[in-house]
Amino acid sequence: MVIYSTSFMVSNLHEQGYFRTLALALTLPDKNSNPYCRMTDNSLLPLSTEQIRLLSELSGSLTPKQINWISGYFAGLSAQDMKVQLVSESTLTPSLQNDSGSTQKGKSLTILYGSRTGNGEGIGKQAQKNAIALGFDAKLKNMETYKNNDLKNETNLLIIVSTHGEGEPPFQAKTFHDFLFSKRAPKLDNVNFSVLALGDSSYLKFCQTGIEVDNRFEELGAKRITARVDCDVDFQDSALLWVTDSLLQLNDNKTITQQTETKYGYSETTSTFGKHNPFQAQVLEKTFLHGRDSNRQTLHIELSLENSGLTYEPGDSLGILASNPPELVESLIQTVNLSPNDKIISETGERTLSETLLKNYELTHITPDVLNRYAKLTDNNEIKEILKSQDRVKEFIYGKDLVDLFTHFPEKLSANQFISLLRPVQPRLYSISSSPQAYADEVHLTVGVVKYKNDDRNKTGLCSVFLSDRIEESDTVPVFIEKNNNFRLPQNPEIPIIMVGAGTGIAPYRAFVQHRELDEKRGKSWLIFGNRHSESEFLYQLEWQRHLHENSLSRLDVAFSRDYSEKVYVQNRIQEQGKLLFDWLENGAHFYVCGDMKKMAHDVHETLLNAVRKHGGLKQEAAEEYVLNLQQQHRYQTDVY
Amino acid sequence: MTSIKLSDVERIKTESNYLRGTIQEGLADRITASISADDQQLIKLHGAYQQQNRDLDDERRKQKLEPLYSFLIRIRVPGGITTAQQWLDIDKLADMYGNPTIKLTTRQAFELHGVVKRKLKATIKGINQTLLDTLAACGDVNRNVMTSANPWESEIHQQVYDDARLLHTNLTPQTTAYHEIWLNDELVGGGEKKEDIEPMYSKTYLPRKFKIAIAIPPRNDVDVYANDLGLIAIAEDGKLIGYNILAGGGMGMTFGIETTYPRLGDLIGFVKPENAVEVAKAIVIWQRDNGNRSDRKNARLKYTIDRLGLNEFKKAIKSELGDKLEPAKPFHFESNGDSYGWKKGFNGKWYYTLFVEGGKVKNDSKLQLKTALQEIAQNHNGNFILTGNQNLVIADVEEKDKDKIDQLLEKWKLNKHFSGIRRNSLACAALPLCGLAFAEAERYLPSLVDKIEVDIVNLNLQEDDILLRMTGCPNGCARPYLGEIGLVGKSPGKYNLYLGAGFTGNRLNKLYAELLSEDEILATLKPILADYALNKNTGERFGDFVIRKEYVNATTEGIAFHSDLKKISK
Repeated sequence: MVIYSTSFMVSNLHEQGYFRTLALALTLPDKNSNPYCRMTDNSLLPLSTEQIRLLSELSGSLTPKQINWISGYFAGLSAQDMKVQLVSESTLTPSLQNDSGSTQKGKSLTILYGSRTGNGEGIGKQAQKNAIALGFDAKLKNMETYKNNDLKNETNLLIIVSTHGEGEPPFQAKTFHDFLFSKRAPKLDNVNFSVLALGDSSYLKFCQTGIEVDNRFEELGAKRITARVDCDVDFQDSALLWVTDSLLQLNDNKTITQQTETKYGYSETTSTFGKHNPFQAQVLEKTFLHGRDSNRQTLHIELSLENSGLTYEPGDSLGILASNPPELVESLIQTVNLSPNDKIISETGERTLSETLLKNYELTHITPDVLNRYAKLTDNNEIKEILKSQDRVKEFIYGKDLVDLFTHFPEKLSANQFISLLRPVQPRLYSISSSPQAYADEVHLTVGVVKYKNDDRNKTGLCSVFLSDRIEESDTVPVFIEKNNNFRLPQNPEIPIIMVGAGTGIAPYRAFVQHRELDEKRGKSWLIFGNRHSESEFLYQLEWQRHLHENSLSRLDVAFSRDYSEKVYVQNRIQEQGKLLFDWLENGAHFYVCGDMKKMAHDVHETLLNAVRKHGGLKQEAAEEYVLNLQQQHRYQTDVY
Repeated sequence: MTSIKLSDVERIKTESNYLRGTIQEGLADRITASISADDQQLIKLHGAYQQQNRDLDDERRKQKLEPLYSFLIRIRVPGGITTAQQWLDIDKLADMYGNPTIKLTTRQAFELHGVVKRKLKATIKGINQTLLDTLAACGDVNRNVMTSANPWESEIHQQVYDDARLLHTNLTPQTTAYHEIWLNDELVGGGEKKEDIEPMYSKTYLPRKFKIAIAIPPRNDVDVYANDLGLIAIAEDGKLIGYNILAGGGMGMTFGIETTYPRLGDLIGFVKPENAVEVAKAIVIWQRDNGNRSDRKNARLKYTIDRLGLNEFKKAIKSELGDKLEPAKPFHFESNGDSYGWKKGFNGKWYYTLFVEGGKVKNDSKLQLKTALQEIAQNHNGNFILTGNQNLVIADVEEKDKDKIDQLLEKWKLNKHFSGIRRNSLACAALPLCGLAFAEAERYLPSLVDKIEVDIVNLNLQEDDILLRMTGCPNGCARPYLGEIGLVGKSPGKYNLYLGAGFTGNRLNKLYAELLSEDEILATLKPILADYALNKNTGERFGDFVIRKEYVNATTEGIAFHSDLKKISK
């Protein structure tokens, strides 16, 4: 295996400029002195002759400012190349602290992030380290716990914010967003800002929250450092450009003098495996959890992480790179009148159309961006008409896959045109339902299987059905770990926990309870679970019964909405137990919400507020304050999808 | 006596505060669809058995789900008589809360199966609203009181039925727990809750179940000999003069324990109708005080009598009743099966006896029995009578309505003619829901009969009434030891074969072969049936024939059930 120390090289790039880096690389020290600094035996230089030529050519034409910019860009870029062994966080932190401690305080900078997954935080950490390296006095803050009154005192502010669902702020950014749009929002004349908007163009209101925040800052008088950057699911490149650009603008394009850390926080594992180089995890066991009276399926799948070096904590997610249903690929190729053997050329080489479709593109659902590109490419008036209204887009794409699109609007396309319309396939993330302490070298998932019929054709979700129908026991599945530091057990195991979950939202709690079961000092735990039918959809019923019996779970309340003529949900159970809930919170309990139901998180939030108001004897505002405090103390965490 | 440890069920009853236990709490527990082991014992006395779908046990364990628990609810129908409206109500409850079949039992009760815990209360409430109930349908108390379902055959049927109701009422537990748990009864007058009193049962009830049936000769369709207390109605000149009293009958036994055995009731005398309740109470109380409370397998009255002696028992009852207990009167039974089709009663009304295979009222691809009976009930002003043979009598049909009922019977193809062996077949519920079953019964017997019928037809025996009874375990719900052919499940797909019971229910059968598979059952029966077809005497019943031809020895008394066996094949 060829492994290079990117941070080493990059730091030298920064210090010395580009030619020095090459020289240093050629005169690397003893390879045993740093386990991460290993070169191939047959060639000490990682670049081909052609690449060296290109580099020399480029560097000769660059101004110092350009070199500076590029160095920052490459620093970040290298961190994303998962084929490269990354330096673990701990090996770099001491030197960073020394460096920043010894220098005088630089320009004040706050990096404020608000996102559901670890992505916002990861980018924020990267930005902070780069900024410190540039001499900034950079602080990283989470919107969820940010003191809104501090806003008017900020001077330089980098904002990273994602958008949830249909243009909503993520739960973690909600309070900040509300404050920004309230009457209490201060004048921000003295604030310089820039916004990085994270989003997913498969949703209608792409990056809506970022757009709103960006506009609102302007309205409040703040000045832009750089223009807002909107990132799609493949955000790394644009995020890095934005970080680099913003910092250089703020730094008046001065040269970077400090070593920069090159690693994003969103992948803190020391494994060589990651999103771009997934581990092939073997399936150990597959079992469907619903009883036969259920008309839905939930898959429990156990995968082996043996020899992967991948580690995770309860609360983390597993990313899976699924391939499309072969019959869908076949039917799509027929629909667009192309041949499965048409050649498609991409960065990774030449492959057939069917191979490409199988692995590389989203086919199981239509997203607005695809519709947009299709309208542009074909000038189809009907599609353009649909695109005029979000409601019509929503209505049109509902329950449709790409075969439907090309059946509704047939056009003559070349294979490459066709491919250019498609959306690159995205990994699917599932909350992990096992604890690594309880199941060493294993990872378990709890997957709701998406199958439905629409337009007279059977439709499926991409990944759930990949796992349920196309993967057999002993097959392998490409996976990586996605950290989620926003959904964590309390560090102190004695702290009581309240876990609210609907449907497959029970997954991380299985991990939580397994994890704490092994800790004799564990505090009380209370699970509130909801699904449709008790007889057939009581996920992991036998395990919960055992946990209750053995007191590794203290209390379990369940709500099965279809069991009774009147529908009952988790929030109803919370309401019934409002007094108890408040008592637990008063005793320091952490409160978790996880689930796939659109309204659940909101309703649970309202119910929590009501319980606090009623049983705490508080006015509405005080209750809101109480709940906000819970959030700020990380005692109220959500994982809602 | 005191040194022997009481059975755990005795502790449960003692601690239960008159059958309350923690049933209420158990019903409220949403984490499991089951109730605690103790409450499972208690809830029987409220008429419900916890069961689980054993077909799905393995599958659900893999699904990380608990077994699919549900409850059987048994509804007492004294004398088997219900109104058409009650039929419709029960039918609807089965749809709303059950699986949704209705089982007509061998003891004239309805059973709803597959009722999940959270629907129990609504179901039992619904049953009570139809003016039927479930209290004491199971458990260590007097169960449903049976009566021959033959109003057309006997002028005294109504009087006997009234006496059955009297017995029913007088022997029903007095605990208020039933109302409290299922019917949400308000406390009368809002005062302090009174301590329950059970003047007859006391707080530990009986050592074991107790069954009463009244037969009205010439029909022994209730299998009067198989009951703890059997009453045989005696008429003179069309008037009821009283009852012969049989005591100590019962079916259940346990494989491998020869101290357990089926037994037929002994005739101990005669009482006038007005003394029927008194004699019943005397016997119940004697059993209450003398029955074995340590070993539930030896707790029924039949074992108490054999342990203490029939004379001792008779003496005790005589001392209670005095001259009211007179010498038994002569009587005569002709059969213990049902006679099918239309019969005209003394009252001028019509009665249609309908064969219900295995007592199972359901819809399937072959027969829409449930829907058919629903439509008949909607068009019928009279009653339905559940027979002791799992069948149904459409009763009290006015002359003018007879054609309408006939049309419906025709429409739903219910007036088919069945072979003698099929129309005399009984099967218990067994798998998948009954926890006691070792083998199939109800859902298997019809297909076995299909195969036996091939031989039956070839031998030209299709009109011969032969009592065939199958159970999935030896506990005896379908009274297998009174079958001329008895098949008792011992392991999946394997049955013990018993032969030689009396056609009127007056003689137990005897083990003939063990652990037979289906092929072996057919192969074993075929030559015997062939012999019967060829060599039976005129009017000779199959059960008598196999004794005459020495296939088995006659069982002369219960205690001899396991002895005097011929060489058992296998």
